[in-house]
Amino acid sequence: MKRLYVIKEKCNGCMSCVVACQKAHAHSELYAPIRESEPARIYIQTVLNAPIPLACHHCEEPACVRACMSGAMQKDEVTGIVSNEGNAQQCVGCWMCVMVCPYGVISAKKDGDKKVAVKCDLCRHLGAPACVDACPSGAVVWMDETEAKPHRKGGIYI
Amino acid sequence: MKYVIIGNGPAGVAAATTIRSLDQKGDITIISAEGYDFYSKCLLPDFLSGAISEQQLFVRSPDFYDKNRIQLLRNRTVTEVDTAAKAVSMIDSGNKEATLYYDKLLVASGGKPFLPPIPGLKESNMFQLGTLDDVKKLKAGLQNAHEIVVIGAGYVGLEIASSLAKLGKKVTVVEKLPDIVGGQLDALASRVLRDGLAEEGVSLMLNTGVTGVSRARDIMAKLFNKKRKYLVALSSRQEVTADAIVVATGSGPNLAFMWNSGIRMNKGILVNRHMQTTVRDVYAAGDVVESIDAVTGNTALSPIWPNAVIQGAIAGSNMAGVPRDFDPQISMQNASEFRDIPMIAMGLSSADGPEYEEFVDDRSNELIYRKLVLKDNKVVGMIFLGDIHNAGVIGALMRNKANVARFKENMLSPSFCYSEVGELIGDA
Ligand SMILES: Cc1cc2nc3c(=O)[nH]c(=O)nc-3n(C[C@H](O)[C@H](O)[C@H](O)COP(=O)(O)OP(=O)(O)OC[C@H]3O[C@@H](n4cnc5c(N)ncnc54)[C@H](O)[C@@H]3O)c2cc1C
Repeated sequence: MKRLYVIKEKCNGCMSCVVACQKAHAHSELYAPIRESEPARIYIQTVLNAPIPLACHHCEEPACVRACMSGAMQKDEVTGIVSNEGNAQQCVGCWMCVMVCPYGVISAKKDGDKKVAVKCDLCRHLGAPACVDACPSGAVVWMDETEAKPHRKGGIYI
Repeated sequence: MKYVIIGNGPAGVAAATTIRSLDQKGDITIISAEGYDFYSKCLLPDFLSGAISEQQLFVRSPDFYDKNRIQLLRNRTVTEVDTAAKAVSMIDSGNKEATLYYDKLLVASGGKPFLPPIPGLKESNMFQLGTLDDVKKLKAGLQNAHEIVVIGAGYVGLEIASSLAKLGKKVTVVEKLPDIVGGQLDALASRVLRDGLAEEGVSLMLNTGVTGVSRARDIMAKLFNKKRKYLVALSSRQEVTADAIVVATGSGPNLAFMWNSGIRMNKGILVNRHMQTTVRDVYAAGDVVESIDAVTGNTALSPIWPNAVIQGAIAGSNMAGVPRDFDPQISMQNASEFRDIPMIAMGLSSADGPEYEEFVDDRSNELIYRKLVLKDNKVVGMIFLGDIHNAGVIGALMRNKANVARFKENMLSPSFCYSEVGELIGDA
């Protein structure tokens, strides 16, 4: 199964992944990156003065799925994608997933007059994550689990 | 293998799903005292206010039971468990008795609201909120009710009060303790929440208990054959009038049917790390059990949704013959939102002596307030209000009892993130 990985050393903090992520998830393509209402689902953090991308790990046993009290957050048995969108059950913005996610990669967004949780869905509507294509330095990669395994340094980092 | 699960809540359903993933052949039966598929109790206040529909309460799709080959026996109340005969006795809604035999049993019968022994309360127009049927009864009862007294200012009482205020009711919450949510928040967070409730139109009366409920003497009502109101008498000698009274004074494990089972119980059922009770082949999970708290190390009830799911999944795995240990969780953790202000609180709300440290990010003028409580360089409590980002990272450090000395000054800075402390959190 293909997953998203990050090679820390390669990131130069250009934010292309963040912009591509917002654009991939905004309803209107054109002005999406500057519209604040569509939060990015991948983050660039600074650790010891170096930029590091951070996104959902799509865990084997996701704490967010276990804690979800509406049933909206589900892990797809086939693709392994963890998402609270596109399922019969709707997100009600209770923040249980934010409370239990050990990676801090779930945030809130306004959806009309409601608030909902937003997180990486590996761009399942596109077939592959937009951040990977957008990354000019090869820091954000999309590769097979078995291929990545020997290099893993914990979490999504290789 | 015959698996029998008492309870169709998050613990029971998580166990059933886990068993099915590990044992394709076994018979799985869930017994439920209620007539519904698995629904979310936590969303009942939103259903009450009309924010969500009845349909939205259901946590799984309608084909869930069929797809997983789980038999759900609805409207069956378990009356006794005979662990020697491995038999569960139950009655249906017509009082017809039946017996079911098990190889492995899970008790996941959840919680039940307390009814405090207040004179006149039971005979009044009183409602409790433990089940969907309870809320439907309240919804129907609200049609002719305008003034409502909610007894108890825990999270559930406050959510119900907020929902009732949104429906245009005049709501008064009466609480015996000096503060809301049983002191799970500190003074500032509690004030923000109280202000939010006041803005929603909820009146709060703290530090005062309800001493009795009686019928109001109302000459006009008598003359015009109108429904008389109730008088709620308080220990502060005040009186509040009410058309209806909602009791939200907390809940306790639902285990009346277990007393003859020979299984050891304290406040809840005692279990080991496999969620196994003191009797072979009987497991328990969710609101009915006492488990080890990750912060205090003590055994306690932890009546919250995420812990019920984790315990159910662990029990299910062990029942299906795949040994798995339960890792202690944080018993006190809550996420809520009042007046558009999200809040997450876990563990202790304040320093409890000189050996504790507090770190605070106080931007309460912007309605943001974040606080960490540390002991021996370990996080033992947090309150995130207004800005809840990274709450789970802190929670993971707390659960893992991680030593945070190296970065403790930095934990509330905007740059703090998982990538900085990943090795202390590990993989999921
Ligand atoms: C109004 C409300 C709001 C809440 N809000 C939150 C929240 O915001 N966050 C949070 O974490 N938690 C919240 N909770 C608590 C949470 O719902 C519980 O912790 C959780 O549901 C416990 O799961 P459980 O599986 O142990 O039991 P329950 O969900 O209580 O399920 C018990 C099941 O057992 C069945 N049962 C009981 N007795 C018998 C019997 N004798 N025979 C047969 N079947 C029986 C019941 O019908 C039910 O199906 C809330 C609870 C309520 C009532």
